[in-house]
Amino acid sequence: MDGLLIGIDLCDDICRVSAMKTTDGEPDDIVFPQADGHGWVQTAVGRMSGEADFHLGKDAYSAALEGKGIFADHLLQGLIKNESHSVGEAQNPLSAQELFTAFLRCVLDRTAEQEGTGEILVLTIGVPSVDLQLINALTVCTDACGIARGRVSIVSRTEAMLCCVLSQKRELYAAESMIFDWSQGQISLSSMSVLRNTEPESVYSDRKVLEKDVSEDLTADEVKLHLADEILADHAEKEFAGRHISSVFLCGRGFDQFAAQEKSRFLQAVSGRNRRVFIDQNLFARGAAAISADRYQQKAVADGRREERRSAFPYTFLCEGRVRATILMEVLNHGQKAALILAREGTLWYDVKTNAELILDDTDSINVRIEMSGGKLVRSFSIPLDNFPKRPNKTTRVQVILNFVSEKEALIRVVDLGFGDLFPASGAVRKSRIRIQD
Amino acid sequence: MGQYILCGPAASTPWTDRELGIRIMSMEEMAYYILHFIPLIDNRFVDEPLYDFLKSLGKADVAGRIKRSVRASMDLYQVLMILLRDSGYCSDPEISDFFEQYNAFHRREPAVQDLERADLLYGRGRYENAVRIYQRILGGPARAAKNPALFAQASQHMGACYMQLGCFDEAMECFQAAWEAGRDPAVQKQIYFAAMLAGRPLPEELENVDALRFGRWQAEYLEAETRHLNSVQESMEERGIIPLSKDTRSAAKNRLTALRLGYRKMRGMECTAPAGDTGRHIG
Repeated sequence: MDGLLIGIDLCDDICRVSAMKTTDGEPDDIVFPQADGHGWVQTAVGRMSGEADFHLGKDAYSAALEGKGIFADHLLQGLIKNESHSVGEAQNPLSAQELFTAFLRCVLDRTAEQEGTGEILVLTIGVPSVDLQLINALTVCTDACGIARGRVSIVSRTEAMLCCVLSQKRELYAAESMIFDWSQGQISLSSMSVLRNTEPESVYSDRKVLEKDVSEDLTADEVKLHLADEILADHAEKEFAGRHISSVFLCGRGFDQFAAQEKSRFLQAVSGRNRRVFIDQNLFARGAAAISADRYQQKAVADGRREERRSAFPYTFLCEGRVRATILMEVLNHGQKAALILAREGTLWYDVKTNAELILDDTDSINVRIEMSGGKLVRSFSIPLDNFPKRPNKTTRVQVILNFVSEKEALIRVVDLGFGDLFPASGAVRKSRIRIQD
Repeated sequence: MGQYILCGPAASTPWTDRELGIRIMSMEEMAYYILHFIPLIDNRFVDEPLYDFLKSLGKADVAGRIKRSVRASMDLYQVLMILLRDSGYCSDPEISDFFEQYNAFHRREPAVQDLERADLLYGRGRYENAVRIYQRILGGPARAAKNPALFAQASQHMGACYMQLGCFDEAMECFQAAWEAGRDPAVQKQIYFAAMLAGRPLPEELENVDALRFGRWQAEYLEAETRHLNSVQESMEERGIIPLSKDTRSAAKNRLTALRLGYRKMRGMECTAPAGDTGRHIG
């Protein structure tokens, strides 16, 4: 194998990268000299006037400080809003995609420099929320960087985090795992639990924001540091009460400061008997790299280049970016009852596009069931077809089309196809939105 | 409680029924065709187009089984059963019902089978094809003296076909022949409507009709004509067509009549009886 398996943790403020050269090793955290040797760099890019090359970190800021170039930060928001920047070079405004492409090239160049090779085998990018606009924009940017689409994967940061935890020893997630994430100016808490009564096993994750507008840099102020410690300790005690927790991960620069304290109430609150606590700044990037490694491995097996090997993550993921329930219909297939799966839980929501043709037998509505893991029925949903023409029984073929408009809402369309030349189609359509979660 | 039948693929090579003028594009449609068009299915059904249709659905194995059945001189019914069972469209009770209907149809006299065949084509709007079969019935086993009931029915139904084709003179002749053979009071109403549409004087078959019935027919006819004229008027207005003057209308009507006569001559549709129809549908 000659190339890199890269994971990027992409936030609007900073970006972290991990890379592996083999599928079995541990990923390396990429260090950015432009950011004082940190393992992260601002999600920002700059260029001096008259120069062709873009820069990261301090070099990017220089262009802005001296007023002799362009500088753009919060590139992720720029991509979602499709903003262009014309500061400093009004005659040649650059689109959000062009700026992000430049940023991505710089990040990948730095990765190649550290790892000694520039060939990218698989790239996984973890993003804060799986937004369709963002996915399309990122795809355009990776195309522009010359990375084949089949080698790019975009997942939620949550999923990257889950994969990182699942890459650890099993005992760490025997019960629940809790992950505190201090990034993008907020502190959130995610829980992870493996549901072992399903086949395949499911990994369920829930996330809640504990505090907003919290700067990660508290070292200058002892009072603020102490206050943050107390607040986080209260949250931890409340959230952990009555739960079996095997491990706690603390991810974010702010948590290093608690570790430096002699007595942190927060650290005491999260520690416990048989509970391991880790402070890991690159949890999300490493998780993304692990996903890259697994995808490469599975592709190699599919291509016959490697022996059959189970995926490192043989789970159904029920987390951000994934469908949390299965949508199905009960149908007859050659006289036998069968379940027609319109959307399967654990699928990336933007990947769901189902198309099925059915004949109505003694009914004038479409009945859909929504089930969660283990076959637990959440609800049934009926779509009346009262605008469809009345025909003899079993002479109405309908096309049922389902796709998701967001992580929690599906759009189902039912189109009247008639019955060939015997009963021509009317073209009638019925649309309905189905909410998966409240 | 309703249910849903999962559809199979569409055939890249549809099977065609030229008499009905329809294409069958899936196994489900084929099953429906077999269940509901028994009179139209004969030994010609099992032929190369059927095999091509099945192969284009990925059912070469079914085509193979049918070919072997044919070589083994199996009954057409058994071939149809293979298709019905493979379609996944029919329930067991439906297949049982089909078995009974199929056998009942094939136990009937050939002339009655022809009548059902023609009625089916009429029901699907294939009037010319239906007329050909009615003519065959009337010229053969159902000749008035041999089987007056069948003759009456076939004549009446053929008259209905002619009405749909706008051949009111021919339709009236058919209805008059039906009345002569069967004396069904319903046929008198059809004669009345045919005469009105053909612009012919009311014939002697209507002499004994009581005033009340006659009045109802007149009202019905006027209502139908008014509806038709309103519909034409609306259609013309929608399309921005300016109505013709009386002279132009007359000339246009004569032209249309001449065209109609020429068309009928061309199609060999000379008829011995005058025409007319109430628009009453049969079957």
